Amino acid sequence: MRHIKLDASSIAHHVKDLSATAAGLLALLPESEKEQLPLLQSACREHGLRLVGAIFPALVVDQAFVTEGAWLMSFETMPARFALANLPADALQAAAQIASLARQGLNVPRAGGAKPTLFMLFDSMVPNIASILDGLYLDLSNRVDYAGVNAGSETFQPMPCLFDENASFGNGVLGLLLPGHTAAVLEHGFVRPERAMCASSTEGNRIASIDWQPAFAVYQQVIKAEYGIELTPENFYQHAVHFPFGIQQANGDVAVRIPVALAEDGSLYCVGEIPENAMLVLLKAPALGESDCIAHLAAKLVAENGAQQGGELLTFYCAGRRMHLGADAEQELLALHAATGVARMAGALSLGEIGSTRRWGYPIFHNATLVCAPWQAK
Amino acid sequence: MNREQILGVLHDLSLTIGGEVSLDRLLQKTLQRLLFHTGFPAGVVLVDKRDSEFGPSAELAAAVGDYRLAECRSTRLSLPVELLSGKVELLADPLLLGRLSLDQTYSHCLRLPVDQQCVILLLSPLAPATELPLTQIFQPVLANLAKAIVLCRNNEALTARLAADRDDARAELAVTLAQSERERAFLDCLYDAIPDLVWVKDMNGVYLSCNPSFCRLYNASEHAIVGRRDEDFVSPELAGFFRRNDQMAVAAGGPTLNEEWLTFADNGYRGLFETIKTPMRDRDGHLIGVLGISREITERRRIEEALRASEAELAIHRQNLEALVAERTRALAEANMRLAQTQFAMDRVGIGIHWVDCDSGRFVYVNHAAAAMLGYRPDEMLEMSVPDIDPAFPSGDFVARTHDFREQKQVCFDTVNRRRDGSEIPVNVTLYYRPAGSAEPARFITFVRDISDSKRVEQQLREAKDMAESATRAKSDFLANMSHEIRTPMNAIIGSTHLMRRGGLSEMQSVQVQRIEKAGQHLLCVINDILDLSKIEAGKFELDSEVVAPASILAEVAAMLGERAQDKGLVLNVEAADLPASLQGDATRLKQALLNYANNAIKFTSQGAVTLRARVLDEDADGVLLRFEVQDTGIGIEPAVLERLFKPFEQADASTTRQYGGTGLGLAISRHLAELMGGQAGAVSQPGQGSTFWLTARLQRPAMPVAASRQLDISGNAEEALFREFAGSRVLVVEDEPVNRDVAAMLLEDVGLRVELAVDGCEAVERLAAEEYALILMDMQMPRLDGVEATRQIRRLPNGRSLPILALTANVFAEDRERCLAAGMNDFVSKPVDPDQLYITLLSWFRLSQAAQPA
Repeated sequence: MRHIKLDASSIAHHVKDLSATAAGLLALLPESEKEQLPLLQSACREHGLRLVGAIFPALVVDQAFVTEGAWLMSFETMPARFALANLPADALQAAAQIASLARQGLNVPRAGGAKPTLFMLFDSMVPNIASILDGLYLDLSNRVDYAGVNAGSETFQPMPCLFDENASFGNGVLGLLLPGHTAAVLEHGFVRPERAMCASSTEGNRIASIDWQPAFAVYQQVIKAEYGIELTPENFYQHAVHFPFGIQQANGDVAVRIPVALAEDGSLYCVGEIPENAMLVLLKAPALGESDCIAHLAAKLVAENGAQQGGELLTFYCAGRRMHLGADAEQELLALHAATGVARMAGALSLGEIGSTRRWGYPIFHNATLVCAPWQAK
Repeated sequence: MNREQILGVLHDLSLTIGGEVSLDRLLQKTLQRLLFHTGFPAGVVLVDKRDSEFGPSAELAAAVGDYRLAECRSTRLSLPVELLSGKVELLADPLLLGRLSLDQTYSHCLRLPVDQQCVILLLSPLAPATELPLTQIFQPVLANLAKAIVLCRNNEALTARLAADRDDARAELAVTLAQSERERAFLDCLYDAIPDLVWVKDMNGVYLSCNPSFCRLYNASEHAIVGRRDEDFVSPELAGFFRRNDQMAVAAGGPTLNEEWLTFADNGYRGLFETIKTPMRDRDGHLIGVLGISREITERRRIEEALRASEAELAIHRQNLEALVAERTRALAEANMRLAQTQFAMDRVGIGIHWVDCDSGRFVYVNHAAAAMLGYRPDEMLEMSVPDIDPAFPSGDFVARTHDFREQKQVCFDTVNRRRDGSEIPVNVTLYYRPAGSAEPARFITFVRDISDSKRVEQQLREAKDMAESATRAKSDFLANMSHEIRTPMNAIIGSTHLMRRGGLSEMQSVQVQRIEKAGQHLLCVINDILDLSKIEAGKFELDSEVVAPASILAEVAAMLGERAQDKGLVLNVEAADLPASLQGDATRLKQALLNYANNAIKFTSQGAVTLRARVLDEDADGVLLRFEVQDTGIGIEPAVLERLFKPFEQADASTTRQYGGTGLGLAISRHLAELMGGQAGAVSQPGQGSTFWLTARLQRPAMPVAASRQLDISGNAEEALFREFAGSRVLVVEDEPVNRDVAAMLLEDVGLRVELAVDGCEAVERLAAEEYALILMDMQMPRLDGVEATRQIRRLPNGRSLPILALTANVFAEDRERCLAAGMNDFVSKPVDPDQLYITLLSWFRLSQAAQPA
């Protein structure tokens, strides 16, 4: 994996160099460098390299968040991939199309017969990823392990954030069937909430009412009552990252939903759906050191993939989590680096994450998590 | 917080269970939410648990999270009874789960029994990590789930039944709707398309419906018409008329028909319509309205009326036609009859008739006569062409050979036709060319007559003619010989008497010689008349064409008879005023005819006068018709006898000959001569009052004036002139008869001429070769060399070319004269010799010869 400068000569140099040994590339670009994408696509086409990738708010380069350059991660053998733009609004139809494409990749014989990981890069503007995951799990079941992140702009403005060597597109998904035991692990470390409420009216990722009252008004009252913070439309996102909603599970886990937008009618938009009449809990995002998130994450990495000492770790860090932690976010990266002992951490700020907090668990769409997986070029 | 967490989970599960009506979806969603909440990766729902001799089993109704198990959905699985049965329990025995560990080895299982037949198993390869009592928190929802399953099953059964009923109903409805729609569409289409006016009114006369054709009547849309009455569109009178018709239909209880003139408001068109109005009733039989249908019959009515008029006219025409046909039939029958008669006549007329194609020569019509003539049937000849029967028209050359026929249009010719048996018959063909008409090509129409008989008769006639001609020739020869044989001795007799008288006679001798002379002259006259008549009847009498002075002829006749008239004391008058000076004709024969008349007049007139008269009857540029008359004051003739007088050998009565003499041939000869000259002859007489004998003759005007120099003056005494002018001239007389030789010699010597004699032609030629002569008198018939050939030889001698040679012969026929002239003789003196005529002739030729001599 190489973090390169995104100018013409650098691109040309690295792509040419990588083309000597690689069949394809996974590229991660910060939003600030998106204009350089055509150069990269052109270079890949010129050297016959397959390309998949996405644009994120920023990159994770070792223990820092960077908005320059790009990550190029090579595949000696290009894994099965698929691109699907303009996903249907109906989640089951979208899931069926994704599953169909994934099945085509599963039909390709794989060395060793190990179960692959279906790694998905979604446009963060797709509003029903959780439902798509439900449909996908019904269809593909345990044929694959599930992992993935959302790309896009942290402003949540639509843009073509997914690409291959030929084109860029939005409102879709890129899929990679990563071979071998590259089990991704996910962790957020959010503690159990103290207050429950009912999302009495929802539609996809929009919460219209909570406890049969306008959602923002309830949210304002609760934040005011619990934490003494006066929420306004202007400072809404700034504070919302600290007080996300959670959907509780019987196993004690909670699926985090960070409100990211406020509508004029008082509705709240989250990254990820909220089932109607779901019992929501209001979470308080833990400060650095308040949770065992990094420790658990590192432990699960070791448990699933063995020791990562000196290895390369694909690392996606939730943009909302970084906003919540601020400068401590990079401290958390340092902690992760230290806990895993990896030589390099390469990744990006994500706008939603896919995975399970437990091995073989039900694939769940999360917010505020770190998703990590050892990188194996082979 | 655990309480709220459990409530949250239960709330979520309750919402899921209560939100589904499909059993599959219920089980699937319930499993999904259980997996979501518990973190178990897989789960199954087993239903229809049974115990059998092979052990307990259950049907896998739903599976989530394990694709191998999902593939076993709806199959029965044999499972340990410990797994299937029992309360809610977390099992941690991989052996129990072996049957379910197809892809993944499960070691832990959360069993959630729903009811006696249904159990949910959540499967995991790891021990679940949770602080909540999983075996307890789901208890409340399982009972609800059991109820929900029953409800879903009932619902599905009901739904299936409803769906089946609905499908049946829909299918039936669809069929009915489709049929209804088709019928409606058909009716709508029919209603709209029908050209008739169709409407429905209620019992109050309010329109309920109408079609587009009806809308034209009121020039309003259906929308504007429906709900209104006729009064809203037409006059009250017309609306009342419509209303009464509606009521009549209602009263009749069935369709009524009436005709009415309607005026269309949209374009003013007015037409006659036949309207049928039918009362309409509902199912209960109550009247609900009137259906009206109007069909235009204007054109039909017009055609009907026209048809009626046409039929009447046709009847008249038919009557006329029948009369015409009858008339034509009669005419045709008559024409056919005439045609049959014509055909019958044509077949039996004995004349062959052909119609021939002008281009090919093929026969297109042949009558029976034509076919029978050649031994064919008519139909056989229709397969033939002209070249098949006529060698004169060879095949392939027909058009060229008949070219002139087309030009001449009508020709008549003789030809030969070939019969079927190859024999040939002579035929006469009259051919007409009929040019091509509009309906028929050009044709030759030929009438063919078998002329075998006429040819045979012609041949017989020719042979008869030849025989007659031969007889005539024999007769002529006989007459010529007789004439020659009589004249020759007569020449000796008359010549001798002439010489005797010149030698001096006594009175007695003179009387006797005179008797001899008269008998000789009479005999000569008889001979001449017989010869003339014979020549005339034989057609060999030919007239000379010479200069004639009509007045001179009368004068000469008068001079010749003056002495005899004077002897009888008769006055001889000549009336010849206003006559042409010279014409062209035969003066000798005219003179002969007039002499006959004049001799008779003198003969039969004892006192009074005889008048010779001539006058012009007619004239033109070519000639003059003259009438000559001899009028006497003699005994006259009975009219009945007059015409008989002009026949040969006829006289007034038998005593005439005895009293007056004559042969009775003179008048016949005169009439023949007049006719030969283009005139006639006749007589007017009354017994005791004299007679007038007349003749007419057409004489030609001379082409050139006659040269006076050629007219020799022979007036006066020729004998004396000869003696005076040409005495001593040498004349050679060639004569084989010694007596005639002597007579001739004496006559010539008597006028001072020197005579030498030759006995035949040879001697004459020899003498002329040695001697010079002034003139030769040449007999014609002589031994050794006759006069004709001798003349030819003399003419070849140097001194014989211009020598006058005069024939002196008893051969007096015209052909004899021509033979003499042709041989080179200059003139002709007949025997017996009239000395005066001889001397005149000699004088004439001596003078001509002398005039021709160089000075």
